[in-house]
Amino acid sequence: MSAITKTYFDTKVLALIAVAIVINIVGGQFNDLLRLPIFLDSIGTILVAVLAGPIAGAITGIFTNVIIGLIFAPVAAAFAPVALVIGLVAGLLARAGWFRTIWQTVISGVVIAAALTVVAVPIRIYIFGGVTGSGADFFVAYFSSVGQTLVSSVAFTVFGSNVADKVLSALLVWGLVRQLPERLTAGYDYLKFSKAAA
Amino acid sequence: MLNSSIYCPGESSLHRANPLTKSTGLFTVVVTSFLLPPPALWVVSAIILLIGLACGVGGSVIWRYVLLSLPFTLAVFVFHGAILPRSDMQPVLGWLHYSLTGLEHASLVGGRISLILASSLLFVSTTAPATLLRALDAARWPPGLSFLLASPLLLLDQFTGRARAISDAQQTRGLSVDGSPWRRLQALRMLLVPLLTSALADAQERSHVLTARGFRALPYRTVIDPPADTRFQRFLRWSLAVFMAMETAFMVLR
Amino acid sequence: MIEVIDLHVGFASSDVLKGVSLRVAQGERLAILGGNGSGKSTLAGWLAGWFSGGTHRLTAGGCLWNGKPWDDYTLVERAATVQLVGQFPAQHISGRAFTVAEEIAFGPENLGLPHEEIVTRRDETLAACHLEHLAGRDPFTLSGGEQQRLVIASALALRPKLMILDEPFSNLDPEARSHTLSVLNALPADVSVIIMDTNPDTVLGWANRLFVLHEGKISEFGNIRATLFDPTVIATIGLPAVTRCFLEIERGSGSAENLSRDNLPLTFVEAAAILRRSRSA
Ligand SMILES: Nc1ncnc2c1ncn2[C@@H]1O[C@H](COP(=O)(O)OP(=O)(O)OP(=O)(O)O)[C@@H](O)[C@H]1O
Ligand SMILES: [Mg+2]
Repeated sequence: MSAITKTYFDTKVLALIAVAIVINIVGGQFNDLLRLPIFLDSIGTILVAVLAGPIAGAITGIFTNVIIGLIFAPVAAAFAPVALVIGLVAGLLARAGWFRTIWQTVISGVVIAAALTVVAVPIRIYIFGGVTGSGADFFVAYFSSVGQTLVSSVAFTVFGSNVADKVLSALLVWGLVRQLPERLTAGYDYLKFSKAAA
Repeated sequence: MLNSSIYCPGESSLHRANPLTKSTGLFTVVVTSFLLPPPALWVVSAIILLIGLACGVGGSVIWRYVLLSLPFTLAVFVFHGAILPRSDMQPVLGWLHYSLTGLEHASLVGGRISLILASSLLFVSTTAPATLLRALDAARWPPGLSFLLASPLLLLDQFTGRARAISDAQQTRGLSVDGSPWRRLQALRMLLVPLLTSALADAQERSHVLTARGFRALPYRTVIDPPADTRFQRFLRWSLAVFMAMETAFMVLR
Repeated sequence: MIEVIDLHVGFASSDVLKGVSLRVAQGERLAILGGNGSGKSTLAGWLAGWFSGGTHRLTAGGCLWNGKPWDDYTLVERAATVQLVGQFPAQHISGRAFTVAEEIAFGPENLGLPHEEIVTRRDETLAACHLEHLAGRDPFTLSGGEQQRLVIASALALRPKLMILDEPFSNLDPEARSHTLSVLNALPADVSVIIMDTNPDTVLGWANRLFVLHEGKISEFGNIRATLFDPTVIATIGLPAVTRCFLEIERGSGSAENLSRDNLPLTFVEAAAILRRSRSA
């Protein structure tokens, strides 16, 4: 009789992804308050990646950008692949046990920033011509006027503006999952890979 | 925040068209934008904005279009036309140079973004999120997909309020939001941890409720009042899909 | 019919239910009273088959619906059989519906029921739960009491055979309380209803049977009156407000009737009857 339909994700993971998307969107609000030079727009993605794995993390990233595209700025949807890579790489790192100690987590943050740069640069250059219409353009302009190629100018800018954000986001998630009571994290398969070896 | 969303209610034929048809149309425009030359990109953008006017959403679409594309268009023209070193740089005045190929490239990139932006804005301003989701469910896409689009939209206001309440509460308890970057980072933690914890508790409880109400018990759901669909629109969607496939093949083989 | 057999459950740190047994026949109206932390929500969740694994630890016993554990039923069967209305309504809104009407239709739509059936159920439930004037509203913008009624309505739209309500009156004004009770009373006679509550006032006069949950055990002392006047129950839950009030009066001045455990009023109706009799005497 127990003909439970097979689905890839637990409904529990789906519900988690939904709130994580909201956290990604709302996170920036705290940033406005604290005026820190970071985005805080992928904490939810990294949290899902650590709790439920790379695929769930990737989905969180894609849908975050699609929803921002639907309600605020359609251009965000073009960067969905970048958000996907953040979730995917964070999940793979978590699976490999790289969210266990504080130093591993810092390195994970750097790796995430590097991976997203690899995806963001072609999108920025091929679709947006290397600029975005935001303050970051001044850096791209500066690097290219001092003789860097367009690719490396954009890559420097993207990596430079993301690395602090991703390291901090990773650390926040690391700190959070360590202090969460078990009743909130029970049932998320991937957490065991990030538990510090006793 | 839903109130500030781009959708504008209306009765135009574009409002009434099936969201799947509109999204197929949007994808077609996006794919096609990679094949059109610069002048055509700008002309088609203008046509799309005019369609917006005809559908009664022109005001909001044009306003957002200007807001979102102006800084970008300026940046792309200045950057490619005058900053990025190119072989055909010509002096204009003192240190100011310009490059014709750069300006051409800027017109191509700017036109493409302009077209994609205009058509996305037209799509989202004439499509209510709820209708889009009903269309997805009616077309028997997995219920999980429409959930992931709907739930964040619905929870956004609640969480924005919660974030504000947390920051008010922590500040009355003496949390300082200025000071050294290190202090502000500590403050960030004090703000985020309660928000994330409550989010996890919600997710936990909601997953029980969803399961208990039969969510995803079947691979599809019945949709009462599905958005109207016509044989013509189905035909249109298939044709556009074939057209997009041909365009993609052309771009790859070129 | 649901049967709980020697249920021992708890969490990593503590045992919450230490051998709870209960049998609820079709159509029975039960109230289970217990103080904060006595395990009402835990029991409610296990009754509805929500828990298995995770931090929710089952050490012995279990729940059977018509002789089989919930795991033996499909999700569709379960949804159409048992509905639990949780304690915190805002968390029990599906987060998938843009309007109150959609929220009520959400469950039936998931079960793939025919179109007309869903529309009928939605409209009937909207009317029965007095939510028609809110039909077009965003569920998350409703007040706490309105949300509570919406969650009850969404559960009823699935036409369950067993309804479990966890402190359903906590956010409701007196009128909404009696209205909710009348909605529950109007359910078909074969539907069993279990209400968890911290005090007896609202459920007395509605419940056929009364249980008390205390220190991990559930007890029913023969009948409602015996239960309420049991010393341990008086100590943990307290007497109904009406009864307490009569005892006060009794103590102050001699009244016409000799009031004792067997005839002290428990509800307003009983109290009114006694007062009327003493007036006419
Ligand atoms: N997920 C959990 N993990 C660990 N302990 C829990 C969990 N849920 C409940 N408890 C504990 O189990 C006990 C019973 O909790 P329960 O929520 O069932 O009580 P309750 O009777 O519903 O209380 P209330 O009247 O406050 O709603 C409490 O001591 C509580 O702290
Ligand atoms: Mg409770």
